Amino acid sequence: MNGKSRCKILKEIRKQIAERNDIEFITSECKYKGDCAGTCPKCESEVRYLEKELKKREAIGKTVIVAGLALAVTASAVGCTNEVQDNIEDAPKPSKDNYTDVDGFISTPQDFMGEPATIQLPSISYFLGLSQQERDEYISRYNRSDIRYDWSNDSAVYEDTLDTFYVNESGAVYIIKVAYDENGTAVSIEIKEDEVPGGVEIPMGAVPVE
Amino acid sequence: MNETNIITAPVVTYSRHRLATDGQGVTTLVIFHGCPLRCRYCINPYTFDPKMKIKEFTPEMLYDELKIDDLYFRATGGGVTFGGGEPLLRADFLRCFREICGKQWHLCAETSLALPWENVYTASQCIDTFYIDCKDTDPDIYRNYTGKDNSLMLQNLEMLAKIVPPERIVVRLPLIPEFNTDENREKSKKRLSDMGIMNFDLFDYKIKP
Repeated sequence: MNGKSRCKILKEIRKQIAERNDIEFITSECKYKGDCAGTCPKCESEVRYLEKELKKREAIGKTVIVAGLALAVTASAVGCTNEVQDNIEDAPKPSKDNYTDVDGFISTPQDFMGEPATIQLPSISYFLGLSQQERDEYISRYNRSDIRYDWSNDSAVYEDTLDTFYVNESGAVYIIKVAYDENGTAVSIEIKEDEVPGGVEIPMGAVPVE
Repeated sequence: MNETNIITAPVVTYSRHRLATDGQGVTTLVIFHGCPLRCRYCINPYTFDPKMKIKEFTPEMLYDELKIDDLYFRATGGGVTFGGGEPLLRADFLRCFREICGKQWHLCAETSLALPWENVYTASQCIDTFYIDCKDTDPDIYRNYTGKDNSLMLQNLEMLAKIVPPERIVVRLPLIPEFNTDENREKSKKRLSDMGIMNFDLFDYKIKP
């Protein structure tokens, strides 16, 4: 079993622990290319986060469920192939309850109307989990030059955020381009709606515009 | 006197996040230094190399290192597998380790059982699953391969099978090129089944040039 496969299984375990204990847990797809041991500082920090949240729940008398809840995940590891399955359908489906900010997006509390807002973009997997209407709302909201995007706190979010990709649903394609300044801060986002020629299928999250 | 700070064991290395190779769930494999056998195709010959760099751990020190994966252990029914080398040479260490880690971690030992019964008995009180490398029950085959007599191993296995439930024992019977045959292995399996052993892991050694 290679590191990527191992990582995927461990991530699934973390996800199950979070779900069973109602822990807000937004993870992102690993974009690291190359061999790895199956864990990394980001993965380890997710474990520490879960441990902290579980302790908080125990401290206030809530029942914490951990023992044996991910038995099936590792049982399915027997006979696991070396292929990493990048299945978009398996992307986590977030709920609005996961987010503490207005309009359902993670951000620092900022005034959207006029003051520059610092916003942490959700992951691709989040975006793909939205309904078509929610995607439309998201795209229309972020076509503003007075919005800046802060990538500094979570490099994993940076790696997994919207850059340039196609969303193909019912023939609608969105092309999104983000412009960055010299510090790596995204300074503008351009969203264009395009049309898919009839009969052509474009894979999700695939080829860039250029 | 707090034994957990006095007893130490020489650890060569440990390997985290093992899946489906050393028992159920997510496991960490701890490799101890030292072994009474000298198997011709030993997969870890550095475990009896006197020049090998090792680190002496107390049970508490080792627990402090391994608890980083406590959440995975508990969620998957996994834990720590002790191997080597011969982990039952450190039976008192394992006993203390169990006292520290508690019951939630599944502890396994990969052992030859070629050591004093006292060690095996101590381990039986704290190890959940034994993976026993029997090699072969034929004394000549065993001696040719390991350099030692197998009567101690067989006695220990017979006594262990009487004091722990059969689901806690898995006997590994390898097909070892140039040392035994399928027929030898079948004979070993029959003999051990008569002893009450129910779980077998039959596999073939693949010799790399």
